[in-house]
Amino acid sequence: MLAALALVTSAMLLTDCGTTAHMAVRTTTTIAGKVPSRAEQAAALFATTSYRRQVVQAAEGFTTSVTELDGALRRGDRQAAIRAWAAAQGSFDLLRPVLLGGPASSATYDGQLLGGSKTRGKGLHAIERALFQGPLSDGLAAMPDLKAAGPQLVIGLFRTIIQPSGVAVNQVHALGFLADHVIANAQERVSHRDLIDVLAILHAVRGGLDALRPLANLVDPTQLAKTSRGLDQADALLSMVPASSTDAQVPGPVWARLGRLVAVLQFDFGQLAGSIAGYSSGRYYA
Amino acid sequence: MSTSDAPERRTGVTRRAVLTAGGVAAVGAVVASTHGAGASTDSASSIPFFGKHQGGIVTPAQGHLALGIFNVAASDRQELKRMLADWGRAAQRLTVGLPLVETYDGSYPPSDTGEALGLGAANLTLTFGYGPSLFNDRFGLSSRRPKVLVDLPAFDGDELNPAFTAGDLCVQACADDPQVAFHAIRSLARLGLGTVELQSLQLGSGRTSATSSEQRSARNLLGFKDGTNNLRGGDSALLKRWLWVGARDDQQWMTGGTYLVARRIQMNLSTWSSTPLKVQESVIGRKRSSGAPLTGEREHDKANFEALDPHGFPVIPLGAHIRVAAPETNGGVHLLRRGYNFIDGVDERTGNLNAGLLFLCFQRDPVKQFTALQGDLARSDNLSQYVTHVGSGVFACPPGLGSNDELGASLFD
Ligand code: HEM
Repeated sequence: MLAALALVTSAMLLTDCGTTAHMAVRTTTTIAGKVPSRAEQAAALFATTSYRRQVVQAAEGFTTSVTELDGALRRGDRQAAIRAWAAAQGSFDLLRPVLLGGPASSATYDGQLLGGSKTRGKGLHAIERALFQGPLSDGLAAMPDLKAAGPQLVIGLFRTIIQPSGVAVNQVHALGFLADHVIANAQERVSHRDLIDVLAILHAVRGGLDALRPLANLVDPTQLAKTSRGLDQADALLSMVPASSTDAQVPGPVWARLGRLVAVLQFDFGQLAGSIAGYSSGRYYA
Repeated sequence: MSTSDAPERRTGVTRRAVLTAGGVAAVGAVVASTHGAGASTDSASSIPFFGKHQGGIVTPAQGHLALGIFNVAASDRQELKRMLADWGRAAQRLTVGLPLVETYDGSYPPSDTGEALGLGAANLTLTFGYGPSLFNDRFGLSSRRPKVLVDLPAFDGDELNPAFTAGDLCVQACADDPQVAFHAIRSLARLGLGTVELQSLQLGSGRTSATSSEQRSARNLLGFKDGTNNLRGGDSALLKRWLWVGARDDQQWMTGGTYLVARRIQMNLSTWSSTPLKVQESVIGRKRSSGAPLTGEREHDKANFEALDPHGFPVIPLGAHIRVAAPETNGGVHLLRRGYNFIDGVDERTGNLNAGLLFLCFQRDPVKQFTALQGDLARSDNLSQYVTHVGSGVFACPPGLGSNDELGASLFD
């Protein structure tokens, strides 16, 4: 942890955590720190720039997939619609933790974009029902909200400040969604294709780690290696299962092992967040 | 025949027999068994059962909870009425530390299950409530339903498990000994056999709220002090305004009563405990160690929601739990929170702890209070990413009983 960094870069420092837009300014009351080296500054900048690129791509990807989904539903092209739906899910999986720092809560975003008990007939879950249970045309009812979501996502993203440690915390949250809402309590209850979310979230988490890699390598290479190893283990576990598997086709022990690996990964990303706290590029997402 | 318990002279284990054997009249005195062994009431650690309001509401929160949710299996109104009266009589005994009966006939299964013998009253309170479904056509009670007793709406993020949701009746047993609380619900469930069925029994240990000014705040499983800014038993004016149903509210039989909202809230503890402390504190809006608001130093310092940091951001973030929940940002709405931690093993798919908060709160109008507040929390509380509401119920808790009253009578008469 770079304790006294705020002294030298106070103008840039808005928060050391970054998942929430309005967090207290970092203070410098603990151990004396050091001025970041040029390499560290460059790595911090790389972390935020690279993560921001992923986020912007995901936001664009979400909008594109929703447009494709709309077209495919109108044409009655089920296979194309399923592809677009899965891609939109994947984009949302990456954006979800970022949005949590915005104006609305996770419950609201999930309600609006995924669909929940309050928002039956809405969101990607309503599309899923139309795609896998039919009729396809039922999916069209959910489209206006999904299309409107694009600009709202951007508003959510605009409000959020990004810091390297915040990138790590976002992975804790992404993995939390994976554990508590996908593995423990299936998300795709009609198609039973929870593997789509599992793979998308792990892919997004890898993107987050890659963004942090140069900085973590300078600051805490041991923790970086441990975190990378955990992610590799999760990927290796899932490589044994065809990506098109339904939930029931994924053996119970694989789910259980994945759950345990995810808990360890959450812990490791939490530690990494602490190691790189204080390094800042002061950038907003969008 | 039991060796340690006194032999029972009565025969049979019917509800009526159980209660007459013990003798309600004996409550408050030393009750002699046929063998003269005696079972004494425990006045040192008992909370009066009779009174203007039911116990277990403004009573200083005890250490343990057993929350029983029941559905009525009988279709006969009289049978339900009788059972409630019997529950009331049983409650009188249990809350002074007496078993359901004094004496046992060893030829029969014992009428009191025995696990609380010798444990005393442990400040047991039993708080009874009626769910909206009790007022449907089955028992001719629809005209007695208070306007505000309606099923809670679905909120964003809810993932309700039917086992922990709704219910015709609820009994909140709170005590300083978990076994005493458990025994009370178990006893009522046995007394109600055939008339009611236990839908769920939820156990909580570790109060998360202080309900009297003498009590210190306890911590919830997120590690934060909880109940700091709660309604307390001594806040008479606020209690009158926000807790007790008034004589001019729509149903006379509820005057002096209140409404309980029970939410089972799963905590995503693995995510929370991997989140940096500063983020945790910004999510709650308070410091973990002292419980002080982020704008203050001591636990009971008033939160300053206007304060900005040097960069112009609110010190207590816009989505901080205490900001979204505070009366200041909700038209003054208060709740009396009386929650308990629950810990229920390990999720077999993830290996994570299955634990959280049995969020219990009492109020005069659940629509204007809990529902309005929870709507805001679901929309903008940063805490929602760490918790999932998995159970839900609302219950009308009638006023307390006078010493000649029967539980449930005011509902039917
Ligand atoms: C697991 C879920 C929850 C947790 C862990 C939690 C935790 C906390 C904590 C730590 C505080 C600050 C200390 C205090 O004043 O008590 C607090 C305050 C409060 N909470 Fe919650 N809470 C939860 C759910 C809820 C719900 C569902 C509601 C109501 C719908 C609620 C209403 C309040 C209110 C009214 C305050 C006082 C705000 C103030 O005036 O400062 N909480 N909660």
